[in-house]
Formats: sequence, structure tokens, C-alpha cells
Amino acid sequence: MKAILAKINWFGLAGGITTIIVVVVSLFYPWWQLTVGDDLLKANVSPVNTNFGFLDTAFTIPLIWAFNIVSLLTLISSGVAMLVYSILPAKSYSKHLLGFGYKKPLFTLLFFVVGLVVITLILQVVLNFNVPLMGSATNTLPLPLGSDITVSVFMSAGFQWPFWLAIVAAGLCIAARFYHKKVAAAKQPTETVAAAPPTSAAPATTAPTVAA
Amino acid sequence: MDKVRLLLTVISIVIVVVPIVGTVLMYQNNLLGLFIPPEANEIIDTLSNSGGGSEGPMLEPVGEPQYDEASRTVTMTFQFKNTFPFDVSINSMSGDVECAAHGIHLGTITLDKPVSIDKGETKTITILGTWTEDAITHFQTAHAREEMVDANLVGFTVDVKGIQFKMNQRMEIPNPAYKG
Repeated sequence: MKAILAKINWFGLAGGITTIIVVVVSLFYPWWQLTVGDDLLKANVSPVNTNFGFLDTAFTIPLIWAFNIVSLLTLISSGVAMLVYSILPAKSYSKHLLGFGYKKPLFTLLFFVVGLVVITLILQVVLNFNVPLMGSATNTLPLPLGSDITVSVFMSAGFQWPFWLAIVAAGLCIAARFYHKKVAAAKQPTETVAAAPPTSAAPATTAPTVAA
Repeated sequence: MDKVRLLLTVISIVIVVVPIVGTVLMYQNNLLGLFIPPEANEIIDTLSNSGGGSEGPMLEPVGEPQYDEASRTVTMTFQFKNTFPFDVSINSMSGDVECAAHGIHLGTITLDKPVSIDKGETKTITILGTWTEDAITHFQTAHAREEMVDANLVGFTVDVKGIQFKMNQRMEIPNPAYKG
């Protein structure tokens, strides 16, 4: 039993389980949330489920939905691959499973953060609209020239706990990759070292010389 | 071993290609629909048909304003009919009042308390105007014979659902020094 437990890649197992948990919770809780006004507009964003709410109407953008499905399947396959690999790290195919699984949570995380940064930068540069990644900001809406009304919009945004959980999952999967060397090395001692053959010649001894 | 590698590569490709190609095929006759969902069009239609848009809140005065000499506060009551296709919460109203003729600061106006009005509902809104001592003197000296005084509402800000509408308005205010 001890030998079986010693063969498990615990980081991989934890990473696989955490990845699956991230997928499940991300269906219900966003990684990043933007609120405009008093819940006038809400953006719930995660790689797995992105939706928007405006005046009690919830909607998704079909292209973003397709990317969400890609991320969902990617993370599930990664989690399953990490689980299978972790339990059987010594199998011949395990290294492929590890290679398939360990990078995906990290890449999903990176694409998500880079995507958010790029979108907020585009809004800032093109529309002069400051959307905060974390914290709050007040923006003045551009109104037709000559209008004597100024419309200011308060918005607040922040990363939610599933985002931090995703970072943990990605970290565990990366750690599993490094721990793999230790797990792989652990199976080496099972190969028996051949005993040295007995020497056929007895060590030569010098006979004592007896003085005449 | 190579079969596993091949299988994993195929899975990686299928996972990326199938959802995107499938969605594009679903919207092949309406590619704009990939970016703008039908709900967004419905929201735009509803907003443009409601007469709401960026017009801001519409207020109808109710009854005569009440003036309390001790606190130099005038209480004005309005009816607000919510014509927007959504519930409205008026969190605050504020602004400075200036005499339109002489530019003298008369005081401030504020919303009595936040009001939530469901769509289609009409509710009463109470606005309080508090005049300064100088304003009372000004009413007595410069506008003693006027029942209503023209005033400018400077920096009038209405906070509706966290969106702030700021405007300068012209209004008529009851003269507290008018004796009839």
C-alpha cells in the first residue's frame, strides 16, 4: 500500500481535482465581475461562462459562448488527464498525459488575463472609457455636441475567488510537472542490481620467507 | 504510446475547432449575430420605444410648496411617473440655487430620501430647498414684490441607479419673503 501511495503524483492529483472544481464553480461564479451603476449593467466573465445583465435581461454573446465551450472542454480534459496521470505516473503513456494536461490551466489563465487587459486597453484608447480591472472608476459618457447634460457612470470591478482558485490549480499542475521527475526517479530502485560475481582466484599471499 | 499521443492531439484539435466552427455554422446566415445577440437588439428597441433614453427623469409638481421659516426650508413635492421599461431608483438629487437676475447664491436643494419606483408606477418625490440667511435678505430686498423668483439650478445632479445626470436648469422658486 505504501509503495502504491509513493508512486502517486500528489501535486498532479490535487491539480486535477482543483481544475475540475474550478470548472464546476466557474459555471456559477465569475472569475471577474464588472458592475455599472447600481446593477444597471453587470458583466460576469470567466473562461467557462461569460454573461451580461442589463436591466434584468441576461444575455451572452454567441462567439464568446463558443470560446467558453472551448475553455470548458479544455479544462475538463486537462483535469481528467492530470487525474489519470497522477494515479498511474509510471505507465508508458503517462508522460503524454502529463504533457497534455499540465499546461492547459496556466494557458487558460494567461489568455483570460491578457484578454481582459487588451479589451480594457482598447476601450481606453478607442472610446476613452476607463474600465477598471480592479477597483472603481467614474466615466463621463460622450453626449451629442450642444447637450447641456453630463452623464457620469460609476463602475466597479474585481477578480472573484474562482480566479484565485484557478491560479492555485495552475500552480499545482506546474508543480506536478516538476514533481514528476521525483516520481519517475522513484521507480528506478525497483530494478535489482546484479550481485558482483565471486572472484575465482584467491588473493595471492606472500609466503613468509624463512631465513636459513 | 504513439497512439496515445495521436489521440491527445486529436482531442486538442477537436476541442478547439468543433465549438467555434459549429457556432459559426449556426450563424452563417447572420454573422453579425455572432457578436450581437437578439437580446441586445430587444433592449435597444425597448429603450428607443419607451421614450426614456437619455431624457432623464420627468417631474410633475404637486400642490403648493411649503415653507418653514424657522429652518428656512421649502418643501416641494413632485409626482414621478416611471415611463422607463425598468425599475428606477433615485438615490439622490442635489444642486445649488442661484438668483437668475443677480447671480446670488440662495441655497441648496436635496432629495428628502431615496425613492424606488417600479416600471409604470407613479410615486411622490419630495425635494427640500434650504435657503441661506443672505438669501432671505436678498428675497426681501430685491424680490419683495415677486411671488415666484427666477432661479438657476447650478450643477443639478440626479443619481438614478448609480448613473449621475448633471445639468444646469432654470426654475421658478417660491419667494419666502412675499407677503401677497
